[in-house]
Amino acid sequence: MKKRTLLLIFLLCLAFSFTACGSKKDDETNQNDTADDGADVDGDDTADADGEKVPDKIVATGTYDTLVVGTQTFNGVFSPMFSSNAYDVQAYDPVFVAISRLDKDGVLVDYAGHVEAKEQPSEDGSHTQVLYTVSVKEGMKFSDGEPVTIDDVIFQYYVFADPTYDGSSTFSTLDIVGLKEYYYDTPDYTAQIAAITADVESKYTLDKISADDYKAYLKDSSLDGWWQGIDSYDWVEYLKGEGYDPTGIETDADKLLEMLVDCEYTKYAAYYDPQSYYQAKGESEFITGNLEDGVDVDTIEGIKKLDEYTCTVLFDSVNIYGDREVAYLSIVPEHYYGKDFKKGDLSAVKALNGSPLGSGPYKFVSYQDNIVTLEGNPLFFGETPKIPTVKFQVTAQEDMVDALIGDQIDITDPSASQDVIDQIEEAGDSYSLVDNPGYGYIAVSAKTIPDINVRKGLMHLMNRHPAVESYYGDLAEVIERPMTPTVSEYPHGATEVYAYDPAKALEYFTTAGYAKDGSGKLVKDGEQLQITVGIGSSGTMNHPSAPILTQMVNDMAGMGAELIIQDIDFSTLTTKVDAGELDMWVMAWGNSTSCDLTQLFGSKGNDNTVGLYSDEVDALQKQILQTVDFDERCALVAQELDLIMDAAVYMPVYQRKNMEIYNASTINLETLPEETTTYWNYASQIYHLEMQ
Amino acid sequence: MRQYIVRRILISILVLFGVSFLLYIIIRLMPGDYVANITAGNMNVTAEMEQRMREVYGLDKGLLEGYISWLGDAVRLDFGISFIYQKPVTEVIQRYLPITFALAAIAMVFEMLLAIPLGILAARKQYSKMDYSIVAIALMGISLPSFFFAAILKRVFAIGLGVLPLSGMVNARAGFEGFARIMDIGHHLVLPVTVFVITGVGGLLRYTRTNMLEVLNADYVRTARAKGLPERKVIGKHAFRNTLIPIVTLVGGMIPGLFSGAVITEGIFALEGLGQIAINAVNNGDIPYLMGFNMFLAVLTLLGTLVSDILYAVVDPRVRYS
Repeated sequence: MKKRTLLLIFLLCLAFSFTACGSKKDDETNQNDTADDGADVDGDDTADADGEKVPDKIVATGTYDTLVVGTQTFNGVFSPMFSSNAYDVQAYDPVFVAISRLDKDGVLVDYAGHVEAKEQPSEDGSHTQVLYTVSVKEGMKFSDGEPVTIDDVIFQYYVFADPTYDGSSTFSTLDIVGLKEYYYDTPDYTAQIAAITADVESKYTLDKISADDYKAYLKDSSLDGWWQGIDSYDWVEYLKGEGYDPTGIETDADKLLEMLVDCEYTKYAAYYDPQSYYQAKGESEFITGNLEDGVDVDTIEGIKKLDEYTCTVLFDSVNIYGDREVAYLSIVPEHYYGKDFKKGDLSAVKALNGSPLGSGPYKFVSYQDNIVTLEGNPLFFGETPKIPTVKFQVTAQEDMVDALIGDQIDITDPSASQDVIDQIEEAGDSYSLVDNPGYGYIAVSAKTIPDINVRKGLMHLMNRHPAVESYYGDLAEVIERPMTPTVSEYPHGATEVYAYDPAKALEYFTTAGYAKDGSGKLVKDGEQLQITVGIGSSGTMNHPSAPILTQMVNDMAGMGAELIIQDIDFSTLTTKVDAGELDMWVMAWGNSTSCDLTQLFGSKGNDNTVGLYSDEVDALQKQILQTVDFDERCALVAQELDLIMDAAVYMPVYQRKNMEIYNASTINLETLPEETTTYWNYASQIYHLEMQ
Repeated sequence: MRQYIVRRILISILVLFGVSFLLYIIIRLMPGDYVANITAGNMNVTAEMEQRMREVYGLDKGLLEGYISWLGDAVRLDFGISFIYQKPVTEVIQRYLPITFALAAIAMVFEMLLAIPLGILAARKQYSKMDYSIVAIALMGISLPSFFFAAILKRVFAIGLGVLPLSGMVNARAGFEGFARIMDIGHHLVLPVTVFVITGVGGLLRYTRTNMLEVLNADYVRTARAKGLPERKVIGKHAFRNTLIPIVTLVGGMIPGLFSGAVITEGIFALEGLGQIAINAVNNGDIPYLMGFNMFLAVLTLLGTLVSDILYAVVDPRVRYS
């Protein structure tokens, strides 16, 4: 008996010590990891110590020596080249300085360097090119003591242009001389693409394409994405309606598709775009595999170094945001990130994602326990930071206000609401409200609702004001054009195009050919008007635009039509939108600072999910991007937005405010910026901020 | 015995193949892929760039092709690089493991320390007031949603009384080092552990109680009592030890739970645990991480069942594997 008890206890002990051991070991490895990181930084510190004399550490000016900023979940990718998470960006931002940055009005101004543009004719004189001269201030140093030179900037251009680059920069899409050649690693890229274009134009335009090629295109592109398998649509019914007889092949996907191809080719050939398809196919066939045979192009022709602190970047066409593209960038040290960088292999650059190093007012110390710790950088070229340590601590959104009032954090950004304002005022703390650089909208797809009168009718059923007011109160406003109002070109005087008016909506539906049948349904050709709308609030209908939809459901039911709401999670919504399965959807654009809507509403735009194909809009967009004069550009943008509104594909709904709250008992509020805007907040001049 | 273990391990390997295949299919079938997720909301991304990125991430491959290439790397223990965390999957798991494990293990110890004595007590005094109140409290614990219970605890102890921190893992302003840091972490873990224990103790408690009741009705307990042994000895020596048999095996099954993390509790208390990391990966379609993490859990589950089967044979001499 005793033996068995002993055995049992022994086993239990063993089980626990085994598991406990595991944890200890993990703790150790973790500590080793962080110790390693620490050693790196230390090592660098001593390395620069034998250069010049290193300034002393920064000493606190008041009682508090640490600023704690409340933030949200990190991904741990603290690199200006690869981060895709806004909270990662917030945490590493003080570690870097940009060549130029946006001032409080969103205008590009000099920071750690300078950029200027000069238009010049191209060598053959056929078009205008723009030469940007980018320079960095002399005498700046990274926090490890190495000098900042223009090579660091050029290095970053090459990372962004790398064929295997997978971060969020869109640098590789710019029209810089030699960039495409570098990206696709082929010296005669332009000539080859021109040859493909010529070939496609001679064989695949709508008037020249052969029946076989056309049908092959329809089949390979699954009717331009319309066909998504036999169950994705009532094909049998569709074919019958078009006068085909699919009897006997109802369940045979291949044969059904074949019949559809025939049907579409015979009847709707003018509505498809085989030319773009063959162009894309030709290009992708040509492009694939260029890198596999070794590097053929190792420099970008248009990027040239002039001296240690200056380089030029040559654009082949006018780009109104060219200066931002080349200068609104954080300077990253080549000697650190670029040690083992070679074309086609960014793994060495990425390996340093967890330990950023730059020339900003702060330097990175650690990321541990859900906290990013930064420490003042005495080598910063500008005003020496006043707060020795800045920490970014992950805080649940719903705790932010309580944590600030309880003095656990000093600055944070809860979602704005009247409740929060009241709480903050009562506690005697301070806050700021700025416009969010984005907007919410309801899209109406021209692909699934080709009849513009139906779309206009739907627009007249959207009662936006009460919905936005009830959700946000004063903390959002209804907007009238599909563009972020914080973009300078936004037409602020624009008036409402589709006021809420059910009678007018019915009028439009009638114009579209819908009429009430005997049972009170609104029908056309025997089919009821039925619209499917997607909203991404995961089944809760807790969304600023949700009341608009519920009111539409009622109004449409009253007319004999039907609105089906699909309340799904966000990634399902994105998938459905991309697949073109929805007639309408509710979404929002965030963080946009540009008036370029080519991807959104251009005929070939990647995000043109509503299917707006207008030559007029395309031409205007092209013109806007080449109009340097601001007022002229504003006029063109206003015109473009009016056209988009006329097409009834996008109903802009709201622009909300972002909030920042400040702890009055720990921060010296007088050292916050005089005016906080969308582009300018405490972080923009964090070196100026003081604690009490 | 050895033969049995070897056989079980071989079967486990087969099971793992099946599990990995199913997992891969399910994960790939999730709506929205990583590239669509990170490019959504960025108006400047061209279709060409998206296509290129899909190639870089291997998302352009078909299901079977993708699985085979994943498997090829996985058998060499290379689980790839997480899309969102941009680090090798094993490194990500290693980084977030300690806190997840510490939280769950501490909670489990407390759960056992509470559940076993209380379960025995309730069984001994079946249908008494004591029994009813213990079972009622246990049931309340099981039924309380963790987010609700956590919110109450926070309001009372952090905001109201101000004796415990609201959330987070350490006091950022103080920045303790060494032993003080460990104490600080402990201080921050009090509320999360309480949530875990109160919401988790019920199951184990009721299990103990039921088993104890069964044992108390067994012949050998009656014999012991008939021999005139004191009640303390009857319970402690004859009944309790037999109750432990099923509990020991139950503990084996809890092993994967120690590592899987708790999405809701971690989120509410802003802890850096595997649960939060996993949910983030699901939302972003981070295939390598999800595959790596789920395979890790699958291995632990298989190990857990194996360990409990072996323990079963050890603690109960009637069970023999041959």
